[in-house]
Amino acid sequence: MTQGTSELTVGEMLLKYGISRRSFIKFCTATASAMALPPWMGPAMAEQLRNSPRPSVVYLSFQECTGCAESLTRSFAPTIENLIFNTISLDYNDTLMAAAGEAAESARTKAMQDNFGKYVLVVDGSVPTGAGGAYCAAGGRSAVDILREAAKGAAAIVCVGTCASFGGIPFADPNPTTAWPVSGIISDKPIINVSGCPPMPEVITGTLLQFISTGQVPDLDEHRRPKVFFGNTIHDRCYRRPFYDQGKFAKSFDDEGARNGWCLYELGCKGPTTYNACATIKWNGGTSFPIQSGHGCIGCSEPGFWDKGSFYSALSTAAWGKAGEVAPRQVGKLAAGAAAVGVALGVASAGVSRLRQRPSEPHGNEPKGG
Amino acid sequence: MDLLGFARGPALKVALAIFCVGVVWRFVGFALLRLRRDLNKPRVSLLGSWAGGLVTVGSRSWPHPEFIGRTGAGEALGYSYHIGLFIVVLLFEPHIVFLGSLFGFTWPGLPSSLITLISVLTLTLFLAVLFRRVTNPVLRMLSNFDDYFSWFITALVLVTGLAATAHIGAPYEKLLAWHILSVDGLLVWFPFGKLMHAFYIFPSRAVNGALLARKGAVS
Amino acid sequence: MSPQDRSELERALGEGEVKATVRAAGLSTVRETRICGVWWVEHRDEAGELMAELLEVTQVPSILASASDEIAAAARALREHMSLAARPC
Repeated sequence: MTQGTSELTVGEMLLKYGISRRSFIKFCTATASAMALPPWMGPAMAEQLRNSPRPSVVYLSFQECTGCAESLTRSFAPTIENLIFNTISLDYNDTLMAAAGEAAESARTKAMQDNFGKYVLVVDGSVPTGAGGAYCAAGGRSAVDILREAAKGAAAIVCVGTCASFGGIPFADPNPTTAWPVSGIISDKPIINVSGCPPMPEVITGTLLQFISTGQVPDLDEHRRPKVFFGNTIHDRCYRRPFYDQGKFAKSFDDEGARNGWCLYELGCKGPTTYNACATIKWNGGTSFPIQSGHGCIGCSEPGFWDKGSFYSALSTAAWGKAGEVAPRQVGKLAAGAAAVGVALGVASAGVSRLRQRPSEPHGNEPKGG
Repeated sequence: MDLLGFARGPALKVALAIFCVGVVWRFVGFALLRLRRDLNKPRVSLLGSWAGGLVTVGSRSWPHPEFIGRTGAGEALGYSYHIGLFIVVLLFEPHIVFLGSLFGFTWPGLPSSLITLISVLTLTLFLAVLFRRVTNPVLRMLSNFDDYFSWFITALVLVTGLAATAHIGAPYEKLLAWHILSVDGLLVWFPFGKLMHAFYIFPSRAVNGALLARKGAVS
Repeated sequence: MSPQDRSELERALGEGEVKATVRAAGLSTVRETRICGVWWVEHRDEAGELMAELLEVTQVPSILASASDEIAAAARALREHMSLAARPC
């Protein structure tokens, strides 16, 4: 990690770290391929970046669990994704940087000044506005203020994780800190949401790489997520799809069906309504993903997924009530209450009808049918 | 709240409540209506009139031989799509999960591909039935808004359900939301139109049969 | 692409005159097919996992060629190296 922007180009910096030009071309080619960009873009991105000064990136963390940063930095073996850290000049990241206190903060302000209008602002965590912003404060300043100041000179804001993109877990009912996603605070800068709890490392890297090499925001969906990674649902690409189509569903964890790899729809899988790249790129270097490991998708890249009912109730179940939960007993109470109202209305209507029927009739034997 | 959350949540709750209120209201109202006093001497005992009622429930299930020529095709058509609807609603796994979440118990279902086939057949029969209603001069004269709207709301549920299962026309979460919203619409309309025949059919046959038996007529 | 389609494609394109391996952050293999100018490039990472597979229609795939800006410095370096080698021990 360097202090401020280095004078060296990306290529020179990579060479210093013993990363050859060809390794970098390979990294860019693989990333371009994963993003379904035209194949010539890989070497083109590499060439473009190698001869440029390292782009400045300021990484701010607010109300977050650090899972997003962990997703990017932790791996079983050094992955080629980590090359992103040699490509950019990560001028501020409070988890990774060696400096602390005043030294760290002055590094940040200097980087923001030197690269005003050009640095990429990466944010993870939601931003609380409750109690005047006191729920998340660093160096005596609230997260809201830090974000607003940092956004002023940013070329674009990349929100890493569902918390920064949509509010995430702090935003969930009852939202005690009045947390907001970044898009709820900043409205005048291009925002790219890389959602997921955590997001996939390849998605973070690919999005950053594409932005710093082309200077352009990629195609985004209605939730401002890059369409190239969030264009399909898990269900669209799930390897268990044939079982769904045949109606072979596992009924409980580890039952006969589950052991045969049947669809996890009845165990609450939210795959059909979740947009992410887990089913294709997979996790931990392509090892597996939740459904392959036998657990349904929890929909972690979707807005408000914490409040959409139990992770274990199927998409076709009723879902009113607190946090989308409803039990048969509540349904029974609703039905009973409604029936009582119905009885009252029925008696009243019958009364009105009977009055309208011929009023003076002597009572006699009437068949018990009515 | 997104459309799907709304459809499965507040909309479903309100729709179910209106359905229960409406059905019970109409049922109780109908049950408490006074019958015109019959001054005849009853030809059978009370038990006999009950038995007559039950017989009528069965005998009205198919037209008398004299009428089969004219009405047989229509009856067969009606039976077919009703059976199709019951199979699709009650034996499709995601539906079983839905009903299980309301009632607290489930039952085994049929393979999804078979259900899809039956749904398509049912939809075809549905269109045939509408065609018949519109082209047959007697039926056309008798039909009103109630008939057409009841047909429409049920057809909408069928079409949105097929679209959702096939994942065509829109993103899946929108298709599923529209399917559930159309079910909500069906539930709200149900107690106030001809769809109530589902609850009335057997009691009304029974009452008619009992009254006829009391008069000593064949039921 | 299904494994059958892939082997079908491999069979159709065949093998040409050139085969090269590049050791940079894992192994990459570059193979010219029977069709001149169509190269089959496989990129693997340090663990041997396939990262990307491409068909490049070009003179020489970019991963194989040396950088043009490095050529001048390379010539200089080679001359220095040779002059050092020529000195008596």
